Amino acid sequence: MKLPALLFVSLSLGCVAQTPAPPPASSSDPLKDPLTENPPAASSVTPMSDKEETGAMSDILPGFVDPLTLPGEQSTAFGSLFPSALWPLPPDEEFEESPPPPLASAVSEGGALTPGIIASSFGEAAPPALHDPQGLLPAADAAALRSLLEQSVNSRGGFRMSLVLLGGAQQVPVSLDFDALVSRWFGGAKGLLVVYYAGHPERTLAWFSPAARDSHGGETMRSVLELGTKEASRLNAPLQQLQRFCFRTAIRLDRLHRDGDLPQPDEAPAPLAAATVEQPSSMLWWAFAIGAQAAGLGAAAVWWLRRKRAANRGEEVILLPPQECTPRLGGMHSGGSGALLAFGSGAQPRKGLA
Amino acid sequence: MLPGGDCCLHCGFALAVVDEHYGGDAVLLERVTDAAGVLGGEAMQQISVALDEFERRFPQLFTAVYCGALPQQSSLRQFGFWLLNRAAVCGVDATRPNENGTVLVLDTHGASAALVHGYFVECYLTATDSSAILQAGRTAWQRQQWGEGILAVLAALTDRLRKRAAEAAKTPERFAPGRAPQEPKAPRFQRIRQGHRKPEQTRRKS
Repeated sequence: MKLPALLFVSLSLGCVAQTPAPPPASSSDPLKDPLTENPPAASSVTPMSDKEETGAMSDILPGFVDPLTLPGEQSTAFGSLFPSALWPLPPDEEFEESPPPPLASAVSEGGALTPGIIASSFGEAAPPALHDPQGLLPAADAAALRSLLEQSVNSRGGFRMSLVLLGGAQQVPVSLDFDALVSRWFGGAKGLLVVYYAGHPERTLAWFSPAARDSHGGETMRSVLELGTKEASRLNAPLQQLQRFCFRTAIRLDRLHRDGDLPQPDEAPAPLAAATVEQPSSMLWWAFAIGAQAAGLGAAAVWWLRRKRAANRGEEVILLPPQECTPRLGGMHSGGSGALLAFGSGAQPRKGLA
Repeated sequence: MLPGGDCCLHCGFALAVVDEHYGGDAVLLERVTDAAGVLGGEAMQQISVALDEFERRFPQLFTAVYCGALPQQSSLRQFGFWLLNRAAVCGVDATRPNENGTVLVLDTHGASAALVHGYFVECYLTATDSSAILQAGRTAWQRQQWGEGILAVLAALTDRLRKRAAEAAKTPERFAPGRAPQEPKAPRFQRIRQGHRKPEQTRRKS
């Protein structure tokens, strides 16, 4: 297969070598097209191939291919393909890195809480639904999450939730009696205090008011928070983790308040491959259900028919077709047909009829 | 009566032979006769109920049960044969003649039982059927549970007759009674020397 191609290439090279060299292109005027300036003669120039047009053969035939220079290339400082005349570059100051969001930097933030934070978070009154004493959240996100918790949990008359957002490595003061604090805050209402550590949802702490524990049980309340933290841990971004935690916890708390029962934990979305594999099984589920129903109906019908037949069997009156019989052995009513059975141990049947 | 109807063409057995043992007069027979005294009151009641149910389901038929201790020389089938031909069963209406009846004879001393049918019933129950029906009561009778055995036999008889009735509704010709036995003719032999002449006569003629 390669021999004809090599032969063709050698022949074409020989033809090209016989063609006269084109005049050198003038490089003084870059906007002047060398092809239009010196159009190749159709009779004397071998038709250019695609490789010649793209310059791929310029190394092989340097004297026959003119490298094209882009207009304005010489004038750019970078010498790139995108001169500033055609694609103006943004100023350098726009590429300066923006400072990281405070929540991302707060993932590893540690240290003890200042008295001001302690007073605002664990003071006399319960903090709002979302309390960010250190300003870790952007204002828009904080407002959105606070609105979510207020509208979904606190304003519905069920639970009163106070979520305090702290740095990822910070510690709550051990001297505080949070149970007493929660009891004082919420009184006889169902309330909970959640201390959420940015970027570390698994460290989330929660205290429930006595009314909440009495109404739903401590285990159930704790499982609500654990499910939320578990789902938040699947994400990487601290903000998304917090949003996921707040969203899921608000849904579960509302459901718990309305139904008195904890909904089943939502499973993680299956990967695409698994979803495509499971789709036929979910479609077959209907077929199985219909088949099971049909089988059940068939079995019930058979059972009903058999029962009806059994019932009719005991009720029906059976008439035998009349027969013309011939008397024998002098008997007017019976000829002595029948059977004899000896059921004793070792007993022999007595002599027969005849 | 057709030829062969008086007695067995082979052994000469006939109803008259049995009449010599049990008498030739008609007798009265209860539907359940406990001559041996082995059936209790409850068993008698259960058997009567079963017989009523049998007669309700088969308006043409009836069944009688004779439970007794027969002499050693007597045959149960012969006794049943005689009963069906000589007895008038009490409590059975005239629409059920004896040829539509079945008699179960149970000999408690001889540990034997016989089931004898009238002419009408025997069209539907073969000897194999009758043996199978009697086998239903074998286990109970071996345990001296006479009432249970009789009830089992009645149940088997009912079931077997129900099946035969269903079959007869589809193919009635299958249960048509067979031909009467032909009267055996005198043996006819081909004499070896038939047609031969006596030598002395031939000589005299010659």
